[in-house]
Formats: sequence, structure tokens, C-alpha cells
Amino acid sequence: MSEQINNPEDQPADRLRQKIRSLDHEAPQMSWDQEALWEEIQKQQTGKSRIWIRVAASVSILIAAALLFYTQIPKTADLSYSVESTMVVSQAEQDLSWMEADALEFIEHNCLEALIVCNKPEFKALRADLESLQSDIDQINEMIEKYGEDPVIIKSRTQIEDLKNEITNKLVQMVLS
Amino acid sequence: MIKKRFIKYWILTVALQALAITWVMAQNTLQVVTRTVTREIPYKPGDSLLVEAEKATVQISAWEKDYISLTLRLISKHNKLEVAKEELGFLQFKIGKTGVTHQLKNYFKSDVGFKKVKGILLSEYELKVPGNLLVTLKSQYGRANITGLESPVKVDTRFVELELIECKASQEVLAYFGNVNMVSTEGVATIDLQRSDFSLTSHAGKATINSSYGKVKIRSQELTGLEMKGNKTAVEIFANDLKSYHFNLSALYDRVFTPLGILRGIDDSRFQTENAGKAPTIRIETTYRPIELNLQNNVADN
Repeated sequence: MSEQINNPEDQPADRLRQKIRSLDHEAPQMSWDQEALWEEIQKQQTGKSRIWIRVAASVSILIAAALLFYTQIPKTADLSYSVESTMVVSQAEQDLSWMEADALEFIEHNCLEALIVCNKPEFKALRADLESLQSDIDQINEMIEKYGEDPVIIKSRTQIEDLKNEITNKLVQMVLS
Repeated sequence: MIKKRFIKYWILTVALQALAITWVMAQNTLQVVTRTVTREIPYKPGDSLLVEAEKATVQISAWEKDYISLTLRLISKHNKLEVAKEELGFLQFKIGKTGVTHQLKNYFKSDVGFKKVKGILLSEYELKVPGNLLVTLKSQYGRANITGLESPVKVDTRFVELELIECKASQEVLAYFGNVNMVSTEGVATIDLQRSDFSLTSHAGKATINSSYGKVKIRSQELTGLEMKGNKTAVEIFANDLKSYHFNLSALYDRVFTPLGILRGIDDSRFQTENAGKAPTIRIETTYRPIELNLQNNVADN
């Protein structure tokens, strides 16, 4: 006791030591049932994994539902996409329209001078054909503006232009004869 | 040191070439967006079908089912997918019925101020119809094929390549700037052509043809009669022999060509045969273009 008084700093430590010693005798033996403990752990683990399975399933269902909804949107339901290769065609066409305009001016100019040939039925019929063909070309150009420069339409226009050139040439020959 | 520099330049050159090739390939590739519309249209006996097509491919064929099956594809093409998708909206269609007539139509619709499409737009009809359905097709710019109909068919086309195959009732065709090809047809064919090429092969029945500025080719052994008036239209006709038909051919301001060995009159713009019997008559008149008669069998047998 005198030591305790002499060394006040040691008092709490000694008290604690004594208390522990007394507890050593009073404390029950630490023991557990290992099998029961493992069962408990397994139960808890199984419960957790069940929850995760439920969460995963819910997410999957949500994703599937979202995909189904997305593919059922009317605007995209009947659309399909593909790719096709095409030939590059040079657009640098020579503009020969001035030659045709020259030829037509030549015909007009000569017919103003009251050439007999200009009053012949065949000549008149050819000129009417020429006007009709020009109307066809105008219509085809409208189609090209609407549907694009598709080979089918370009082919039709070429066909008419060839015919128009042929008729223009015939008219020039008739005027010259 | 030089070697390393050379490798660097080489790698750079190859990379640039690869880039250029990729760019060129991208320019040569068209993105195609297709909107597909499918319908099953109920059919009653006596119904008819009117198809009004523009810049379209039309395929109509007969089947044994009692409804009309329609697959309509509206197609837009452009190098850029976004442009192709946007321009697809210009293609519109109508499906309806007035009285007994089912009506199908495709057309172009744009906003005010529209100038020109950047890509290519087209439509494709695929129709399967009951054989007894009366079909009328009006089409401009495109192609059309009608096969196996057992009822009258009427076609009015401009700049269309048209095929009529195995149509068993009457056919009425009006074509302006087109190619018309009829194969294995039956009944009465009434054909009106302007600046078109026409081919009639294996037609069993009568045919009436009016043609202006074109070419007509006839290769049919089962005709029960043919009347043709041509204006500046060249005609080529094939027959088994001279006994198959009564021929009355006239090419004003041009010639009628016949196989060697056939006796002819002085006027080479006319050719006529006077066979006894019930052979059908083929009468063809044209102007400024020739008529050519070809015989399958030896002339000496005629």
C-alpha cells in the first residue's frame, strides 16, 4: 500500500492488473459450436446470393423490356439499312447545248426568209416533234430534281436528246437542200 | 540513319495511300435506307386494282390465294446515311379503295422551297393477286412486269420497260418511250405505241397494233389475226411458212423484204399472198421504214 502511495502513477495499472487477475478466475470458458456457426454463415451467404439473383433478373427483364419497346417504335419498325457500292461517273460532261441552240437559230433564221421547205408538212411535223421532245426533256428534268440522277431516268433523257439531235439535224439538212 | 529515314517515309506513304483508298471507297459506297410496307388486302370477285407508280419497279403476279399481298419498298440512297434517312421522307404512298377498285399509289412530296434531292429515291412494288383480278397499271419512269393474270389487264406507261408474261385474257397497252415485251399471252391484244420498241412472242389470239416512230417484232405462230398501222415504224415478222397466214404487207416510201426465192411484183413496197383456206390474215401498213418477213421453213416448201 505504501508503494501505491509512493508511486501514484502506478496505481491505475496495478488496479487494472488486479482486476484482470480476478476476472481470469471469474470469466467463463470461451467456447463455440463450430458446425452451428458454419451453418449460420452459409445461411447468410445463401440469402445474399438470392437477393443478387433477384436483382440481376430484374435488371435483365428491364433491359429486355426496354429493347422490345425500342424496336417496336413505329418510325423505325419498318426501316432497314444496307450498303451498296456504286461506280463513280465523271460529271464533267461537255455542254453541247450551244451547238443545238445554234442549229435551231439557223433553222429559225432561214425559215424567216420564207423558204418553201419550211412550209412542207414533213418539215412542220418535225418541228412539232422537236417541241414535244423539249417538253419531255423538261418533264424528265423535273423528275431528276425529285428522284435524283438515277441511271434509269438519265437513260430516258439521253434517248430523247439523241432523237432531238437527229430531228434537228434533219431539219438543218432540209433547210440546206 | 538513311535506312531509318527511308522506313519512316515508306510507312508514311503507305498510311497516306491507305487513307486515300479508304476515302475513295467511302465515296463509292451508297448508304441505302429502305422503308418496307406490307399489307394483305381482302379481295371479292369483281374487284379491280389500280396501281399508279412513279419512278418505280412494279411486279404483279397471279397466285391462288383469295387476297392481294402487297410489299412496297420505299428506298433512299446517298453516300451519307443521315441524308438518305432524311430524303426517304419525300417518298409517300397511298393505299385505299373506291367502289370496287383497290388503289395503290406512290408519289413525291416535299416542303415549299424544295429544290433538288441530293441522293436517289425509288420505289418497288411486289404484288401477288388473285388471277381473276382486273388490273390497271399507270406507270412512269421505271420497270414493270405482269405475270400470269387470267383477267383483262390495262397498262399505260411512259418511259417504262414493260413485260407481260402469260397473261391469258385481253391486254391493252399504251406506251410512250418504252420497251414492251409480251410473251406467251392469249386473247385480244390492243397495243398503242409511241417511240417504243415492241416485241410480241407466242401470242395466241388477235392483235391490233398502232405504232409511231418505233420498232415492232412479231414472232407468233398462233395468231388468229393481226392488224397493224405504223407510222415511221420498222417491222420484223417471223412465220413458219407462207401458208401459215394471209400476208398483206405495205411499207410506203420504203421496202418489204422477203426471203430469197419468193416471187414478187414490181412494187417492192408491197407484198401480198393469196392463199386458200382459213389461214388468219396479217395486215401491216407502215411508212418510211421497212417491213422484213422471215420464214422458219425453206422457201421452196411454200
